[in-house]
Amino acid sequence: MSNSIRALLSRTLIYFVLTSGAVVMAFPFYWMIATSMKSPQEAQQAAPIWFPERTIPHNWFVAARLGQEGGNYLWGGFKGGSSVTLHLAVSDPTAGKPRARIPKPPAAFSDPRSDATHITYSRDSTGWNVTFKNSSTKDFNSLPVILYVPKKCGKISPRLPADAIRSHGNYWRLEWVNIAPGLLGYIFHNYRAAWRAAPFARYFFVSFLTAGLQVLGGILFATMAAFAFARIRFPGRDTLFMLFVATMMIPGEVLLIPNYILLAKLGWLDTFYALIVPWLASVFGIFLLRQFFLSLPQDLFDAARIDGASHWGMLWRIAFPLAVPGLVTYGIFAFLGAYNALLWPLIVTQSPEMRTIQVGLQAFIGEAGSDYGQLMAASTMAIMPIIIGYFFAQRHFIQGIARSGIK
Amino acid sequence: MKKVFLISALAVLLSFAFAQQKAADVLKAQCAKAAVVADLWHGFRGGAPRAALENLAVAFNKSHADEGCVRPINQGGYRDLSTKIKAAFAAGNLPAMAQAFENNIALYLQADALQPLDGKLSSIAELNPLFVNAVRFDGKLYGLPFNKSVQILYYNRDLLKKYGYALPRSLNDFVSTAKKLSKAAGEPVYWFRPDTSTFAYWFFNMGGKYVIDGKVVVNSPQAVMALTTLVNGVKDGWAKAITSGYINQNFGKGVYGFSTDTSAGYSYYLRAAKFDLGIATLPGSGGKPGYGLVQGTDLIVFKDIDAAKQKLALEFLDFVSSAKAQALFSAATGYVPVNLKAQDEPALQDKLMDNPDFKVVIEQGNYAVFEPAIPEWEQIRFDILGQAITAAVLGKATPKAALDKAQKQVDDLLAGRIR
Repeated sequence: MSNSIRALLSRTLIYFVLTSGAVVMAFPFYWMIATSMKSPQEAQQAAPIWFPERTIPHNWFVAARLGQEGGNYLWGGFKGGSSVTLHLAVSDPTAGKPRARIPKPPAAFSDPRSDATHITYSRDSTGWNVTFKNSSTKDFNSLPVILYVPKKCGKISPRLPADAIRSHGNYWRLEWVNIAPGLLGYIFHNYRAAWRAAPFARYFFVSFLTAGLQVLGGILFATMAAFAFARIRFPGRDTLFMLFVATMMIPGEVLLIPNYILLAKLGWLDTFYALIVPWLASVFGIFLLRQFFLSLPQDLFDAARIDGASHWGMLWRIAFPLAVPGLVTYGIFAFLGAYNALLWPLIVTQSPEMRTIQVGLQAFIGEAGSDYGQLMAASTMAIMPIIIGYFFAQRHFIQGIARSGIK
Repeated sequence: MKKVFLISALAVLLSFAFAQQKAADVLKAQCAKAAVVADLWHGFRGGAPRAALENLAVAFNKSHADEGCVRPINQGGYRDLSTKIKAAFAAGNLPAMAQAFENNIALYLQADALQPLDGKLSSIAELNPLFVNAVRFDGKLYGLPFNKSVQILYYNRDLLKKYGYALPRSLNDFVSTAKKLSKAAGEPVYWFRPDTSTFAYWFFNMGGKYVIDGKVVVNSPQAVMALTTLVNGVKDGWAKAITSGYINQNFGKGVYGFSTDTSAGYSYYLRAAKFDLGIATLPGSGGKPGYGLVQGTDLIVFKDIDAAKQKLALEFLDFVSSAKAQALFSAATGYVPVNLKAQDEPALQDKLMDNPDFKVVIEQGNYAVFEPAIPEWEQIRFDILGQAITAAVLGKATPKAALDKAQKQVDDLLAGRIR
């Protein structure tokens, strides 16, 4: 009896520790996703906001309905001839009238959207209805609104929560980036804005191509070099290997400028060569695979030699197939290293066609502040392929990391 | 099942089929058929500044289609940009133009790499003389002041109104108002980052100078006085040091009253604030606004480049310094308009109608100060003086001891004893 209680206790403890560990590890990830759904004001608050307005189901229905009024319940918009009505509940509707305006894009001389929008106000017992009518035949993909409500009106609760509320003299200034967002347009506002801010489709392509080729090329060269270091005897082999491993001590930043000059002389700047070729030979890969090859039994190679296999044959027909777990480990590290690289792609490329996803993420970091909502939305998009890849190769991933003993 | 869900989630994400940046596409088309392409390397990673610069280039290229095209290329942030320019020096593939801080210009001049701009800018007489003087080296003009931000006073209108205090207009007034407000609110209301920029406001307005008789001095009596003011402010409970993130990221924790911060942060302050955020020129002395530290870069033209590219680059600088271009750029980005006539242009008039407070930024531009333009300044600013200020504010050293130590490091650095 006491044994089973003890077993139960120890199991509870184990589960408790593991669960707490999981929560701690998953927390930054949750924070990223939550922030990707925040309005700029929510994203900049010092007090943490665990559930942004865009994650609350009640607001989804309101957003879908307002989107429907504007023309599309999924993605919203402000179609020609449509009209969108926002209800604003206030404690004392008779105390004053709200006033709305459509903000113009920065530095625009004229703005067809604000010119075409007619705004009317009507009062009922609970508050005000502000109606925006698109009097033109043009369709607009969003309807940003700024609304001033007299503070005398008391407590304000708009049907769709404002993206920002700020005191402004005797008024409250409420701001929406889009009053007719539609369901998905509301939830994924930052994703849509981030995707528009930079050519992310191209960035994804470049990142995948360079990371993929680095992995394939890296495996090819690392396997050959590692096999030579592990299984072929030649004079100075161990000294040479020590020299190779010693180069791992040199920080990459030190080599940045010399490597840049070399690539400039080769005429490779701003090409895929610059992104891929310098990373094809990896000392880490050679080291990892050499250790792997050393652990294979000598008998296999003796037998192969008796059967007349050359070094080349032994490498590809015996060592390589047996080293798949090691190759996967190296592949994962090489892929993540390439996919996450920032400084190198930034320095050796300059046209938008050659830039990678990590360079793209920089677009949201400003000089005196950052656009955290969009930054986290773009980060979520960037991390998504890795997570999907992880689910497919979960077993190799865990074994690979565990085997290398490195994190 | 999980996999199916994830793949469909990805498909939804990828189905956002949206238009790409417009100005960037136009530029690509313009430069594809141009005979001469003058590159401009810049540090605007995204947002309004980048879009505004690209729009300016598009407009310029339209009017100079027969000569060639100017192509702005982002090289990461300002530090990445200067790293890349150093690498490009060594590799010999410099662009036609770049953004550079005054201390970068001093460094590039040691290599005699810059083209003087004297006589090339038709609107030079209209440009803010304080900004222009900062890019004169040995009497020659080596840069066009471009994206300049200046320190201003940010304040909480609701708080001043609640306790019935007027906006402080002098340094003493500022300290006493902050003291009274802090007492009334029960916590420090002047928020500051313990860095060289905040220090610069107090230092310059107490009459401090960094260069005395050709020597860089960071431990002058005024410097000690400025740092002591901040340190005592924390002790006396009217000033609060913000050590994590920007000041505007800390709203909502405690009572905010004032900060002396760069105008480049204005849009972020506006986004974060729930109170009525006001801006004003800095409290100064003698009935005049205080001096505000100017930050931001200038545009430079490199010397050893193809003559046709250089001609195009100089024409571009002439174009962006015009009142109209400056008005558009300032209205879009919130930077101080460098051309003093820009305020009369419709673009800036519209901006001022939309937000009358913005005139504060323009006005403060007339009371601007600069830090020394020496190549080592970046290192002094962040690694030596900045560290000393933080150490003193956090109570790890007295202001005098911290600054004396910093002075020794500055001397060693400038004498080449340390790097």
